[in-house]
Amino acid sequence: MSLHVYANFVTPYGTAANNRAETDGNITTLQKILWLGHPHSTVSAEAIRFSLRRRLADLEDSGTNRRWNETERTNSWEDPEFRGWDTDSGKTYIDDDLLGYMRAEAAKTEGTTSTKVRRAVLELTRAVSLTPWNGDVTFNAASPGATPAAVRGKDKFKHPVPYGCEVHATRYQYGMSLTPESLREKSRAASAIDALCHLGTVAGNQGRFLYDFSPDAVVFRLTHDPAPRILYCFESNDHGKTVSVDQLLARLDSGDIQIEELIGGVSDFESPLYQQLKNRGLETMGVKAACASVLDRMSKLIGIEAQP
Amino acid sequence: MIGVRVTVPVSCFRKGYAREYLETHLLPPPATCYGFLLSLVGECDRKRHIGCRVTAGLISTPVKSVVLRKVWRVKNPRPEARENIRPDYQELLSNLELVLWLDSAEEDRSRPTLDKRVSSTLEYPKHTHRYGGLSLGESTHLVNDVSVIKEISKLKGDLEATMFLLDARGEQTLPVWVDHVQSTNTRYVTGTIQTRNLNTLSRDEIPMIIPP
Repeated sequence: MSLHVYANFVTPYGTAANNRAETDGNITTLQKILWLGHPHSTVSAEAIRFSLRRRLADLEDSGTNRRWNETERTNSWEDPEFRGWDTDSGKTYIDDDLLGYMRAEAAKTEGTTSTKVRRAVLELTRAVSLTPWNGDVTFNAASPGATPAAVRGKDKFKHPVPYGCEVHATRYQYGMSLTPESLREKSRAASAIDALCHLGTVAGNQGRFLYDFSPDAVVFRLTHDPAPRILYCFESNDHGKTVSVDQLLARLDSGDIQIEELIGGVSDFESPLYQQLKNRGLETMGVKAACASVLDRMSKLIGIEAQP
Repeated sequence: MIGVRVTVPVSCFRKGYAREYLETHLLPPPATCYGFLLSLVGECDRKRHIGCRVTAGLISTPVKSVVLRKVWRVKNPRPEARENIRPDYQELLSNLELVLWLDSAEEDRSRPTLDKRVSSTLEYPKHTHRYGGLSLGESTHLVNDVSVIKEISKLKGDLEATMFLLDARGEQTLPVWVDHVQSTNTRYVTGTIQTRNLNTLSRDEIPMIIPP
């Protein structure tokens, strides 16, 4: 048997200018994908992983193997050769255990096994906006001299530099898959889930758009089923103001998902989402309480420590 | 022969020779489908089900988007050396709905075949030991649904899919075995992408998984 923990998170409503695409003229663009027929803004899984690793580095007593150095703008490593994985008792780090690693020069021939490659036990999906992007662009002007590279000539420090910035007032949703028993230290599963429930900022456009990825609502599923069946289950019928889970309820009706496998977390007990989940008989509580409940249930199922 | 319905919210099946603009195939090559099925049943030995035949068919119409992403290459063995990183465009497919067609008639029948293991995993998931997210494409391209289409003969007559099928004069070459290290041992088959009624498929048209 293999226990899988799946989750689908949705962020609060906010103004995003996250994870930019290539600048187009003097417009700072958003990354967009076509989603259900309309352009939606998106944030890569790598950006969320980066933020998760940074949070784990702050929370874990033994730290992480790689830690982002803001001054050097590169990673500082504890064990860049991943030597801790050579033996069963070697010292390993939580980020390598959860997110995997690879030294590209490790494999010389096909089929040889290597201790320099480890597949992630925790996978995150790309975040996709809950509502389509309607083309919002803000007009801005950088102060005189703030961006000298953008102006030529002798007056480069005299005039403000006009530029546009694509923005999206929306929520983002993204999914997670975790098989806790595959970890070197199973208790790290609890740290991962806890960190995701308190994620904080992801990507962002310097200091101007600190978009909070801590979940406004979450649906967890603990199951032996190899397919999550709850990814991107949130939707909105009022331009992102409130969230609903009609697809998820249809899945419950069809028998694809059992209600006992699910735990819901919401930040507002007055919200229509809370009513929708509650009316359907789904165990629903606050986001932090849902996180604690998942950890408790997981610990009982596989015998790990409940609290990170 | 069984059909496995799979939905993948976001995916990319990178063309083998795409280096600078990361183009995607419209559907997963047979080698990718095989890897996915091995992951589904928790099989780590990629040679365990040699001889099975597998191909993918599109039920939904795929939509392509392009994003800018960080791409890694090895110019310097030191991890994260600046010259190892470059920005590049990548094509993504969204809201994919597929049928994977799997036939195990020519596998080693003395052990449980892949089609039996896939059916059993989805019917009794508690009895299967597997690890990691179930992905089709890159590792972060998680699948959402997997289910077996049990009775092919009972499929509705109008159920059609756009599939990759063997054709000696076809215009597509897709891998049935991938050498991840040097690419010299990657093995391709030739075929065409055609829209077919799923009831009319014959085994000989489906690519076989064979290493070189």
